[in-house]
Amino acid sequence: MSRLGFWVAAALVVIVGILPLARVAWEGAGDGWWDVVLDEESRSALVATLKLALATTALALLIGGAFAWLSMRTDLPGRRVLRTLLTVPYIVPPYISAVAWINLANPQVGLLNVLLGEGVLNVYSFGGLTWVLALSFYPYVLLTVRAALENSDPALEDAARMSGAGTWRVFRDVSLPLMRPALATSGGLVFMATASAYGAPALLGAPARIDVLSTRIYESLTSDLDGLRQASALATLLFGFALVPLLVRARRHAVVSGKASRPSVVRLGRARFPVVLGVWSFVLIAVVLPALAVCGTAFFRIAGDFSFDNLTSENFNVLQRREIRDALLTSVGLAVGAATVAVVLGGLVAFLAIKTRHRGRGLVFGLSAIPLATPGTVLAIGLILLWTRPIDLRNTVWIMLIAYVAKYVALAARAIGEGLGTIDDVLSDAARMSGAGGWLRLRTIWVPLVLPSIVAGWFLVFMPSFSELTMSLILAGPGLDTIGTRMWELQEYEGPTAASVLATVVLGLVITSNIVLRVVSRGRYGI
Amino acid sequence: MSSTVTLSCLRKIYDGNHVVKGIDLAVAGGEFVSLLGASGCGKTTVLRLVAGLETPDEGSIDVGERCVCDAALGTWVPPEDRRIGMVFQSYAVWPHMSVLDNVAYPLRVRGERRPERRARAGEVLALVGLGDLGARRPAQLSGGQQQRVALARGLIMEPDVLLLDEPLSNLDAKLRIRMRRDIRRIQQETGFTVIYVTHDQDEALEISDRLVIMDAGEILALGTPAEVRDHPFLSTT
Ligand SMILES: Nc1ncnc2c1ncn2[C@@H]1O[C@H](COP(=O)(O)OP(=O)(O)OP(=O)(O)O)[C@@H](O)[C@H]1O
Ligand SMILES: [Mg+2]
Repeated sequence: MSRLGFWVAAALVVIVGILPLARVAWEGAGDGWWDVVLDEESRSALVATLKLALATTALALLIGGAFAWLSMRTDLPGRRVLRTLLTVPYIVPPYISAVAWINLANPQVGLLNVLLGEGVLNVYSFGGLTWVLALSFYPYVLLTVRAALENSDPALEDAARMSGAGTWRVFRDVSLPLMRPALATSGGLVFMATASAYGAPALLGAPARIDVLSTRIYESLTSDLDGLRQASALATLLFGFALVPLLVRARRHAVVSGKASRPSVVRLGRARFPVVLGVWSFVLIAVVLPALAVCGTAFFRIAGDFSFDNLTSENFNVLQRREIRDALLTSVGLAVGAATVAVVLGGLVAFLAIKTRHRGRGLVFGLSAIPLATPGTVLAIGLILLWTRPIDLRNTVWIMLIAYVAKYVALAARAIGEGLGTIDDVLSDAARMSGAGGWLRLRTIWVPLVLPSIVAGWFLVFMPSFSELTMSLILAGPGLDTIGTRMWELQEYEGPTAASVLATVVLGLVITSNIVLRVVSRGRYGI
Repeated sequence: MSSTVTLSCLRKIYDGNHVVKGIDLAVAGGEFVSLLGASGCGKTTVLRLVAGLETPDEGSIDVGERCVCDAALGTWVPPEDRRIGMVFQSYAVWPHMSVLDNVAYPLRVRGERRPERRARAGEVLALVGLGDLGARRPAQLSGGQQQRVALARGLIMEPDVLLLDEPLSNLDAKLRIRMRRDIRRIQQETGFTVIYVTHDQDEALEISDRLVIMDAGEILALGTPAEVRDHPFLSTT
């Protein structure tokens, strides 16, 4: 059974996730690659992407790193609540946060500009785009650095303090170097995520004429006759960005010991009051305000007037529109389908990697993670190239299902793998000695024992699939809509109210799923 | 319902480390053979080889008329098809099943109906002194109680060959004496073959037909209790 399982898993992983990427490379790197890449517009898009990725990474590192240190190593009041609140943006798709910030800081009618004076803040700018993306991605940094600090030996900091170093010097001389590998790893991730983001740059960048690679790719796809080939060539550049996290990780050095003793805290002393003020202002601006902006727009008759009389649920009537109901159903169906398939395939891959000694098992596990680290645009183009002939799946839900499974199967594999890792093989051996064959052991021993991880993996795939936008915009043809693409159209053509209603629905579902996830995994997953 | 077990030239190497060094052993059908030896000398490994949970690097194993494993010929019968039961040193009781379901599992695999297997599991549980704990989860049991669940699960199978890896190590002295007599009695009634690993010499001398004394992956001595009683290994440890 293990042989058959291995080849089935390997074939599926390669067909679903690797072949499309190979197709993009093949198509894109062919003749004319230089023409496309040296084109004036492509060059400026490349430069803009680099600038945006660098700026966003810098800001995300600053925010994430500072909060990680403050919440792990100081006597900041309310650390536990802050740890949860500050990771909330992790589960909010960036394009929803872009919608929120358009509601807040659109130069004419943004809620903040109504307060501060028209035109004071302009979200349609390089700065606005950087801000929105950094707010979406700093939790990567926060979570990674926090984990590193959790495992590092606080005695190192104690020693510095005993040598007479003050708070700032302890931070600079000891804590910062300890955090450096985690900062590098997560910085690489933010860099990649920014370069591959499509929704927010398209919503915020277009009015300011900021063109990045991902938006260029989408334009080529929709406008040019020769668009697919051109898009593929540009996609190879984006592919290059995906390598950045790998390069950064290769130079990681181990300064963090595995020993976890009780972390001692740095007293903030006189800095306490300003720091508290700063942190909570940030929570207010970065977490509470955007949420209010979305829900506020969804629940009030006139945006910005938060009076009780203005409260309404009428806006939610858009949910009764046929095309929106259909989009909602499509998204739920696709997300359920993708999560279920991903759990089966990911579970198989994880089981083979962790519980068998089959040759090549680690390779399959590694391959399954590649699409997750690849920009969605690239994967989507590859799928279109691959599923044209002889089987034509373009503009169907099936190609979208494949896309979601390919992209997120690694999340399920990782969660289930972690679960399997904690289970002693002797429990399965005991079932063998009771006479149970492979399938029976799978059904009566392994699955029940790793069920919490399976459920966690399911939700980890369900959530991003439900709110996916980048790939969906490329793959969903006419007459086929997900909640993401529908919301996109509403935002572009109908104004913020209807889009905010959909955003509220997405947020509600994602937050509920997250709570379920946290409960079933006993706090191991979810925020 | 009893099978001979024959090990020929059995060898197991872990990462260049010779753990079992070419063992020959013939156990008669219905015989009770004990393995004694210092910790780490390879007793568990021998049992796992017989069970089929490990593959030997050299040698062959026959159970009854059937060759279940031969490194040279590539013969291989999977553990679940060998009609061999095993009680693990680390108990291996399943945390997600009740005590009764743990014990009844081998019957469930065999396809017996629920009322029958539950009744039978209840009887065997009573035999190991856990008659009223069937509804509990293993996590709610003491170490010694869990060990008896593992023993009950092995006994209920009535296999051709039963491998017992220190099945009484965690029990108090009185209970241990009672339990070993029960095991011996059931074995004699049913007639299955037993390979029994223990660190307790008195236990081995009392219940075994023959004893095998192992050292560093080799058989040091082999004989009836009367024959090996005065072996230096036994008197010095
Ligand atoms: N999976 C494994 N990989 C590598 N070495 C192993 C493995 N299993 C056992 N060993 C080694 O093989 C040797 C024999 O182990 P085994 O478990 O058979 O000993 P034992 O006689 O049962 O000891 P004890 O009385 O402590 O249970 C030991 O040195 C052990 O370290
Ligand atoms: Mg042992």
